[in-house]
Amino acid sequence: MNDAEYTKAFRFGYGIPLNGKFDPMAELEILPKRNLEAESELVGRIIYLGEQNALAKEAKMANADNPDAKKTKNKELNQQVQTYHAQDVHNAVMAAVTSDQMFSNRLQAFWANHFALGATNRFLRATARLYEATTIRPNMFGSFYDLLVAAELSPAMVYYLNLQNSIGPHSKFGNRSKKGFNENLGREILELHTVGVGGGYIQDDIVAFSKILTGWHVEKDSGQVVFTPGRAEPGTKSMMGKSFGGAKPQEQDAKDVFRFLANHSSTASFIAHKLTAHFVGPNNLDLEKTLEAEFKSSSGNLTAVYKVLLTHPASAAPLGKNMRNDFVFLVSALRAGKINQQALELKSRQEDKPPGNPMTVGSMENLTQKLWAAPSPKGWSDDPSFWLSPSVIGARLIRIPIIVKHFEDEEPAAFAARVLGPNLRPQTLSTIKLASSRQLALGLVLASPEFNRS
Amino acid sequence: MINRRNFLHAVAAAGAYSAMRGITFAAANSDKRLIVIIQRGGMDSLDAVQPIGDPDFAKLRPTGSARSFAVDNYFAFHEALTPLKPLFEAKELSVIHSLSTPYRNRSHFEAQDYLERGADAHDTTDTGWVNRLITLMGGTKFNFAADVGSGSQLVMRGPAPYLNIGTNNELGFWSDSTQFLEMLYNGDKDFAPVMAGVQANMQQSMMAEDDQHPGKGIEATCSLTARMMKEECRIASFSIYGWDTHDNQETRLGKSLEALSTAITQLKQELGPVWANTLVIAASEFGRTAHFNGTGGTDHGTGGAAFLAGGLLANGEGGKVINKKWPGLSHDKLLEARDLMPTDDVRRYMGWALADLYGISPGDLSSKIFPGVDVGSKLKLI
Repeated sequence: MNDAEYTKAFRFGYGIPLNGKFDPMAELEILPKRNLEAESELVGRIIYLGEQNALAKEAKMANADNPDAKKTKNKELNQQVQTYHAQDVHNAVMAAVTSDQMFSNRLQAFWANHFALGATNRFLRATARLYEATTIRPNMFGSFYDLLVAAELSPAMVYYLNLQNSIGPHSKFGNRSKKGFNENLGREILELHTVGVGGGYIQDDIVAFSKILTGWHVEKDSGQVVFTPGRAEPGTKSMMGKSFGGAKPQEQDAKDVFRFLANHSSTASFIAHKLTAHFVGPNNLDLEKTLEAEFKSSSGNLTAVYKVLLTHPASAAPLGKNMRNDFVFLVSALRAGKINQQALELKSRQEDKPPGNPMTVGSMENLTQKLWAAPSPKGWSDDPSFWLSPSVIGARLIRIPIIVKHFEDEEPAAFAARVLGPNLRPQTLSTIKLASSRQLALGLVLASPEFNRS
Repeated sequence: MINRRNFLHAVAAAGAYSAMRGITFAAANSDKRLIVIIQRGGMDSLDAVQPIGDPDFAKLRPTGSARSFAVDNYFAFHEALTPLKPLFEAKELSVIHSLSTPYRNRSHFEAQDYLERGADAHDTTDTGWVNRLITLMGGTKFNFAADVGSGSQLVMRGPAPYLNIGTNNELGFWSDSTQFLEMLYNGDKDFAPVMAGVQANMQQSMMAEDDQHPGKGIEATCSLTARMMKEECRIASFSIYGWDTHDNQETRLGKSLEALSTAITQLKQELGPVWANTLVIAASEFGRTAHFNGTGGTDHGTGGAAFLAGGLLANGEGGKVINKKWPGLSHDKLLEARDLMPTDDVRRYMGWALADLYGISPGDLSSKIFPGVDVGSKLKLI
C-alpha cells in the first residue's frame, strides 16, 4: 500500500485491510439489503421478552405467599439476556475484525452512535445489536430521511427514549386511562439527531413534537413498531412555525415532521459537522461546508455525501489530528496481529455466567467506551481530547498485554512497519528495539501515539 | 501513603509552583477534603426532598411522589434516603433547595456544561471549576486531586494536574516496564502529559488491594476515593447516573437515591476520622417538571436541589434543609408554569463552601472559579 492508501485506511477503516486493498468508494456501489435473519431474530427476542415478563408476573400472582417465584423467573431471564448481550458484543467486535468492508463498518458505528442507545435494561441489552443490523446498516446508504424514520421508530429507540408509554392525553386511550405523554424522544430528536441545539426550536416545539409522536409504540405480540390512532393526541400542532396533523391523527403526521427536520438546513450543517469530526477531526471548516452543501443539494442522499467525504482534500491530509475511539482502537489491535482462530471464539464459563472472551467481550467491558451503552443519548464523544485522558489511555494499556499474548510471534520492527506504515516514528522503532521481551515490543506498537491517533 | 518525605516534597513543590505562577496564596497543604458528586440526568428535587409543608405540593402530586419521612416541619426525604437520616440528625448532612445554574434551556448536555464549567455564559471557558480551584490552591502533584471512574469529567478538566483513574486496573507487563512507555511518549505534546497521569494512576492501582470494595460500581468508586483521600488527595469528583426519570420514576429514582445514600454513607465509613475534615457536595444539572408527565415520570425542568455532607457541616449549617426563599408551587409560581422556580444560584453555595474550606477570597471566587457569580451575603456553611 502506498502512503495515501495507508492514510485512508486509518481514517476510514481499521488500518491495514485484510486483503491488502482498501477501496471505500467501491463499497458504496454494493447495494444495501435488509438483514432478514436479524429482523426475525429481533422479533423473536421481543416476543420472548414480552412472554417471559408476563410469566414472571403470573408467577408472582400465583405464588403471592412465595416471593421467590418471581425472583427465580427474573434471574433466569437476566441470565438469558446477559447471554444475548455477550454474544452480541462478541459478534459485533468480530464482524468488524473480519470485515472486508471497513468503511461500511465504520459508518455503521458512526450512525449507531449518532442515534445512540444506552442499553441499561433488559429490553435494550437484548435488542441493541439487532437495532444496528436491522435499522442502521440497511438504511445508511439511502436518504437521511429514511434512516431517521427507521431509527426513531425502531423498537430499541422507542423503548430507550420512553415513547413506548407516551400517550396523547386527549386520545381515546388517554381519556380512558388518564395517561399522557413525556418529552424525552421529541427533545432528543431535535437536539441530538437532527437540527442540533440552537437549531431553531423552543420548549413549545418540543411539547408539540412530543404530542405528534404519541401513538407509535412496540406491539408486543408482533414485535413491530406500529401506529395506533387511539393512543395519539388529536388536533393540529404547530411546531417550528409549521402546522402538522389534524383532528384525526395519522401515521403520516410524525413522518411529515421527520421530512421537515431531514430537510432543515440546521440538520445539514449538524450532520456535516459530525461526519467531519468523527472521520477527519476538528477544525476542517471547508470539508464541513462542502458536506453541508452536498447534503442540501442532494436532499440528504447519504451515499453522495460519503463520496464527497472520501474525495475532499482534507481526507487525504496527514493523520494525527484526531484520535481513534476505543472501539476502533480495539478492532484495529485485533486486526493488527495474527491471532489463532480458537483464541477468538466465544467461550462458555461457569453455569451462571454468560459466555465470554477476554479479548472481545472482556475488552468492551473494561475500556471506557461500552458498546450500545453511551452514558447519555448524546453518544460517545468525537472530541480527540476525550480519548486522550489518562483513564481512557490507561484502560487501553491494560488491555494490550491481554491481546498481544495471543499474537503469533512476529519480528517487532517488521510488525511496526506493517501496522503503522508511513506513520511509524523513529522514536517508536528505537523504543521497541530496547524492549525486554517480544510481547512487550508488540505491545508498545499498539500503545504508540501513531497507533492511537487517526 | 503519607510519610514525612512525601509530605515535605508535596509542600516544596507546591511552593515552587505558586512562586512560579505568581500565586501568593497556596492552600495545597490544607487538610480539608472536598468531594464533588455530579448527579447526571437531572434529579427530581421535588420527589427526593419533598416540600410537604407547601399546600400545593399534595395537589401537584396526589399520587406521584414516593413514600417519605419528614425531616423538619416543611420538608420530607424520599424513603430511599433513609440511610442518610442518622447523618442528618448528627448535622452531617444538609440539602439546599430551589437552586439552579443560570442555564434555562433544559438540555442535559448544556446544563451539565454550565454546572461543570461553573461559568455564567456557555462558552467563556473550557476548563472545569475544580481544575481552576486546583490551580488557585497551588496543587502541583497528580495525587492532589482525582477524577474517579471511567472517562473524564469536564468539572475536573484543565491544565492543573490531577489523577483520572478508573477502578479496574491489572497492569500486566507494564507493571515493571513503564520506562518504555515514557520513552515512547517522551516529547509528544498529547501523550507525554497523559503518561504522567497514567503513571500516577498505575502507582495508585498498585495499592488497590487495600480497597474494601475492589471491582465495579459505586462501592468500588467510593472505596478508591476514600483510600486516596486518606493519603495525599484533597479533592475528588465522580458521577452518579440514572436521574433522567421520564417514566417509571417510582423505581428509577429510588435506585439512584439509594446509590447516592450508599456513596455518602460508605465515604463516611471508609474515611473514618478523615470524615470530620470532609465536605461532600452533590449536585445535578437541573430539576424536573413540577407536574408528573403522562408516563409516570417527570420531564426536564429547572429548579433543583443539592446535597451537602461531611463532618465539617456539624459546626455550620448541618442538619437543615436550607432554603432562603421557597418559591411556591401554585401554577403562577412555577417557571413557565411547569418547573420549580429557582430562587438561588447553586454556584453561590459552592463558592461559599470553597471560601470556608480553603479561604478562597470573594474576588477569586467571582472572577476565577465561578465567573460572574454574586458571592455576597455569605452563609457560613461549615
